[in-house]
Amino acid sequence: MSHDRMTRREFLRWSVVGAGSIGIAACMAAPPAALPSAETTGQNDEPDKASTQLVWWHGWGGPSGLAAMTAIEDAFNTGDHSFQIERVHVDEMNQKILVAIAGGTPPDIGVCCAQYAQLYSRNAVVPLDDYIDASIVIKRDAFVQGLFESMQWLGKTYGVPAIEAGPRYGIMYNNALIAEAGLEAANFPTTWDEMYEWHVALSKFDSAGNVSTIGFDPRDGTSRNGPATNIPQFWAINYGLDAWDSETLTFHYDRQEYVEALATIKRFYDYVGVEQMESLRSSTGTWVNTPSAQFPAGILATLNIGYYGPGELAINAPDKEFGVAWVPVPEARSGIKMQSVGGIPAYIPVGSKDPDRAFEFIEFLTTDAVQTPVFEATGWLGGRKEWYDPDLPRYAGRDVLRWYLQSVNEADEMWACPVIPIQAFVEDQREKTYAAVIFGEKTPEQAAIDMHTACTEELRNEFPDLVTE
Amino acid sequence: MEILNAKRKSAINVPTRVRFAPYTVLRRLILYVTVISFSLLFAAPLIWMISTSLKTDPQVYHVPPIWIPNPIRLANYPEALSIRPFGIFTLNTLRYALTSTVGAVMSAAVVAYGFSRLQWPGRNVLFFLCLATMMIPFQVRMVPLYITFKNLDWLNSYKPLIIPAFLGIPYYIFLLRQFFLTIPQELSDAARVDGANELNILLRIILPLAKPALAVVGLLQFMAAWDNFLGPLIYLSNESLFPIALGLRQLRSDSVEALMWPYMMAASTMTILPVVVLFFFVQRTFVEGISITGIKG
Repeated sequence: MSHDRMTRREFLRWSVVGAGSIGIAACMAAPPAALPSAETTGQNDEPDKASTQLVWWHGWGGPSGLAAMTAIEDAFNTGDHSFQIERVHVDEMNQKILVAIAGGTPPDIGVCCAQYAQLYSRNAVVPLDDYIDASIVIKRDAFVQGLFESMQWLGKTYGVPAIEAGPRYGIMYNNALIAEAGLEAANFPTTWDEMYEWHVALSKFDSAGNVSTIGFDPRDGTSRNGPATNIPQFWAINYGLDAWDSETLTFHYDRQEYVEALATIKRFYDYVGVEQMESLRSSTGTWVNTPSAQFPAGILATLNIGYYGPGELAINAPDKEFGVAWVPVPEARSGIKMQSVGGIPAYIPVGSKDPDRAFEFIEFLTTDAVQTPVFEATGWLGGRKEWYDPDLPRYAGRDVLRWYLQSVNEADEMWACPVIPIQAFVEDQREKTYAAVIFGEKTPEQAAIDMHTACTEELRNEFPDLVTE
Repeated sequence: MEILNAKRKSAINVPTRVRFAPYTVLRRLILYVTVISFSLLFAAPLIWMISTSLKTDPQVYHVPPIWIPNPIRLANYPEALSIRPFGIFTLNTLRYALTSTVGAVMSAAVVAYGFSRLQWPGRNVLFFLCLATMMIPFQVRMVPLYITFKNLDWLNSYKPLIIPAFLGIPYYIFLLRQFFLTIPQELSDAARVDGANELNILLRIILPLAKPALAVVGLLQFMAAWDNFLGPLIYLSNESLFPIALGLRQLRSDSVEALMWPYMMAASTMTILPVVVLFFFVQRTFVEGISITGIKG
């Protein structure tokens, strides 16, 4: 009987053998992909095409984003091309692509969600000027003004606008709240002084003094963003200040325009009370992509937001009606209509195994064969001017979106997005600066000087050869 | 028999109603209220996850928050599975989580035995060197490791996630060494007198006594592998190899639409099940191990 039982020694021996077997099995090559996207590509039908395969990394998750990217992959791989594309959705693109480039195993094409300025300024991506000049698909003047400029560093172009682009600014307002306050959309403010009066009229407090409705939040929506390669810093350019000089590679945050912009931000906060505004923001959320955020929820009356605002509000606030107007400007710039079209670049990392074919895929990404399914899945516009005609049938019935499209054609100022090699640092400083001013820790003058000094110092530390001042 | 009868007799004499002093009742009441409150506090994220996984989208954003969804939307589960192949992601995760767990436990036990039960020159120096490697964060080692694995042609496979675990993980080595030090040296000496070599002593004396500590190490490594995001993110570039951590992240959008919380929570609920089941099986050993290895602090 006893020899039928496994002894401890035998058990341990077989455990070691089993563990070793599992280890070897787990380390072996993976089985073929069994994902739905791979099944629908029809790769096995044309083995000769599949012999050349370029790898395309993209950001953008979520069902809509993935549906759009899968549609692009399918459209390319079933089309008449000499190679195939393997699409990979990458989260935390910046982290992954920097390691991959350093390790010599980058993707052949990248789109979205990296710190582009860092890639350009560190020669981590391939200059595309020769490809663009020779291309019959991509002509620079076919794209909205400012887009290619936001993909250039020291005179070289490192990206091509693809998949997502569009106007970043427009003040959307809640029709019901405007009417409730006795205001008329036809008289929407054109200067910040007028906007402040609306802010006062729209902001409501209960009997205990707690705010229940806010007129305008200068740090919600696209007012808060930038400076980045896909969106400028709103409060700087709104005051006419190009805070980053791409010619001299210097910052201009110490200028009076920036001081005035900071003072304007503080003025809106001071009326409601900074603690009240901050606590409401953190309890409800910002932006427009959740129903509980302060603008979709009807707590905030006006919001500066890009062209994606109308579509997201149709989902997240279907019971409310909204209008849109030009963003106000300071009194000294009264009458100026300002806009910026930011976009996402498609780029070729250094080390791509076939840059020529990679560029062929980038050309494909700018065509209607891509933009049409992308627009249907996500509402994104792309960078070609021809997509900014509000009378196109695809925009029928979308009046607010049509305003954004028309704004690109009517704007007096079309701001390009800056390419700052220390973009992440500057964005961090922007947040600190705004917070220091609204909480009264610094005067606008001091905050502007401190931000200028900090950014210049950081640039000097990271790029000592570039800083001359 | 007499003792048994004595016990029976004393049991008969026990009054049928036990009287508690008011002070004792109050003390117990406070204890129970405190314990239940803390239990609810710690369980709240789990309950919220399950609750959200059964909600419709408007219920997620309802103010005040809804804890018990009405109506209950079970369809979130199959729909979440249809958006991304979470079954494949789960199997992928199990594949390297289990294997690396085996490797971590085995290697840590052997190394810890050397650091705790054997006397050899430079033992303490090497042990502190081993501990010092814990101070270097993964982010610092990320690029050199990536290049190393690339040169070994291990990228886009689970090898970078498994094989290093077989080479010893300092934290687990430290835990097991501390535990092994508490086992009386006389046991090893007696085994040596009986002719056992060091491997026999490790396998037949030390490891059976260290089961709770091994369980702790195993569970910690399994959970670390299960939750690992950065490693798979960097080393894997084929979606068919992706683990749960990357799969769940794919549900997050980048300004396309709002995060789909019910799907995210449904997928999360399903994917934590293996960890929960594992914990239920080993919880007694795990708790025992926590207390004897000194992790509880």
